[in-house]
Amino acid sequence: MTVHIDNMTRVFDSPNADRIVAVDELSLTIEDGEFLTLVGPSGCGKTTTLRCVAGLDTPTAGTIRVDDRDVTELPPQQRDVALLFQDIALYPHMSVRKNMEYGLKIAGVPEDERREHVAEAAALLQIGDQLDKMPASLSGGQQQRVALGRSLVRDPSVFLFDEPMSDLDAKLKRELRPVVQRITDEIGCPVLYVTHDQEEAMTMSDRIAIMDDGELQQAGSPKNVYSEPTNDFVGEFIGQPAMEFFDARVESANGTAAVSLGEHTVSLPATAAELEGYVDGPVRVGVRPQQIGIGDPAEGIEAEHVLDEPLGDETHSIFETEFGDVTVVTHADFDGDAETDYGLVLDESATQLFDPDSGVRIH
Amino acid sequence: MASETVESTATTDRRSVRGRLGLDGEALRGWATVAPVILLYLFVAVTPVAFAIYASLFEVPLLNPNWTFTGLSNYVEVLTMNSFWSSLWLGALFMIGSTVVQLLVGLWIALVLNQLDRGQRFLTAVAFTAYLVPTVIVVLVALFMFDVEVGVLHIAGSTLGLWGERTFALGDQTWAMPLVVLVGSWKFSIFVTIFTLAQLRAIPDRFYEAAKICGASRWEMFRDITLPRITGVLLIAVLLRAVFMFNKFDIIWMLTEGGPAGATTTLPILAYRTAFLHNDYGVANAMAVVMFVFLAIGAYCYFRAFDPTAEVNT
Repeated sequence: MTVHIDNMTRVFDSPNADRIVAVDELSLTIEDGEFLTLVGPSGCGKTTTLRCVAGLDTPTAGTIRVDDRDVTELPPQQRDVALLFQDIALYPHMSVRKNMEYGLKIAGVPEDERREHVAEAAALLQIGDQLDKMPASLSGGQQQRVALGRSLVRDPSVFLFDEPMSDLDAKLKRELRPVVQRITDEIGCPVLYVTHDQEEAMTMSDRIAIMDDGELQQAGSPKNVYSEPTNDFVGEFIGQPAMEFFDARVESANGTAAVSLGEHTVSLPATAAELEGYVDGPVRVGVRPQQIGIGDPAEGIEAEHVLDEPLGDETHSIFETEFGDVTVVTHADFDGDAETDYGLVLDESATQLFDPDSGVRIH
Repeated sequence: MASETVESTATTDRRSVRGRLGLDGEALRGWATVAPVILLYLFVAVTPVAFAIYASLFEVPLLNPNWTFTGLSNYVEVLTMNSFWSSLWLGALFMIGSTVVQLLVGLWIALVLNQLDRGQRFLTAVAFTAYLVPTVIVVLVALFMFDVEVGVLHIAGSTLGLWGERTFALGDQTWAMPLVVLVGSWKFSIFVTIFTLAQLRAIPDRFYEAAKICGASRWEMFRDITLPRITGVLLIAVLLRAVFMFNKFDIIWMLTEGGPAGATTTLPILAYRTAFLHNDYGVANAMAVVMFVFLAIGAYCYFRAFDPTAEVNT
């Protein structure tokens, strides 16, 4: 199965006459067996997209196809999709077993076959001993496993996830991530996973699609979107801690670009052709906090130390500069001090240039 | 920790012993707060019931202050009275018929109101007004609608051939009971709606969405989600409706006075007739006590069979 989303738009009428364009001409293909994550800040249209694929919502324009079948207008009952909700939505009046076999029961699968499927899924999810309990007596993580089981036993042709882990704590998330991956691998159908957590997106996906304000910003493999963001939004959204940006000016471009950054001029890797039209104009320099070094003020951007967040293996240090607060990933032993003047030195080869107005990457 | 708990229980014990002797301020305050309710309950509920049981042991002519103690003979009279058993049967018919109609109509209205996207609040308020219309008005309108000359329902029914052109339907042996049930249900169905609607609104949309994803049809969603979620509240509503309708007096009396020829004489009507038309207050009280016992047994069996409280708690 392959899911094709073509030019899909979803507009909501809001009571105060402003129409809200939740999804704007989105085109996206999810290949068979591919784990595609839609990621973006809340309100970016990712959940609306998922609900349209599920059939719980209908696009205003555009089509959704599964293989060659146009499912745009079909109700969810006729789509053979599985959906895992953020708020789990287990039926509180049914036992865990009843919850898990509900889809099979609706499909008219005989009782003994249902038991077999449920037992299999429960073993995979390690909830075999919980089957006769009521959902309310399970922990959040176990409930989400049951919900996963409920979707899993039906062997769907498309698997959808709507921020299934955002109500779970960090440890449970890490435990559940491999479970989800193993299960989706096993089913081998296209997976659309919606999250606002870039870490989840990076760790689980074959491909990530980043959305903002209803529009697709970039789609690519996790490594690709991390190292080659198409614009400053993607650069900032993907990666932890977020990419830092500095407003600068291009002085000249001859092989390398001389860019004035505060009081210093640094030479960045960019050709004259790439920088055509930017010379003598503003530009945004983006660099990941891992690529910023600490020196003295003569060497780099003058900075005052604000605080350290030691993580054990490294430290996130926050500095105040003329460009605002800048986070730098420093050595685990780094211990900043408010009296000292620091200079932030950017690793020039790791910088990326963005258009100051559109945010588009210059290259 | 543990020793502390033991100590504190010991102090409470000592305090409550003193409290029983009336020495403790807190206990006194406690009694003072519950006393009004207890007194009120004694006067409003316990005394009349006790009085009825007491009076049921006497022969009480209404216009004669001299009561004659007759022991259980009133009860014997009640239980051997043909009209008692036929009224019990009619009362059961009225109770079951009314409860079923009210449950179905009330649930239906609730489901419809719950589906509305627009005007839900307004229409809910409109529907609820039926419950606020005084019974006497309901009866007056009903009598008018069944009027042989101009009544719209009379004309509709006679056109359909249900009753003759000159037949007053509420005075017809066959039609009196079903029509009394219907008129009563017009007013009281909304009671079931009030109970159910709040519970329906509390069912998250997610449950239905998850069921749709699983491929469930509308009927399957109703059977597997809606119904289980409102069973508890329906059981309570049915119990209350059944009790209220078993004891219903006003609407029947005003519509038919138990007629024609006793066709709508339920137990409350019979008891009223016995007391005030046959001047036999003692027997009427015995009848009321027997009704009470029957209701209590019925309610007990109902609770044993369904346990509505457990459903509500989940």
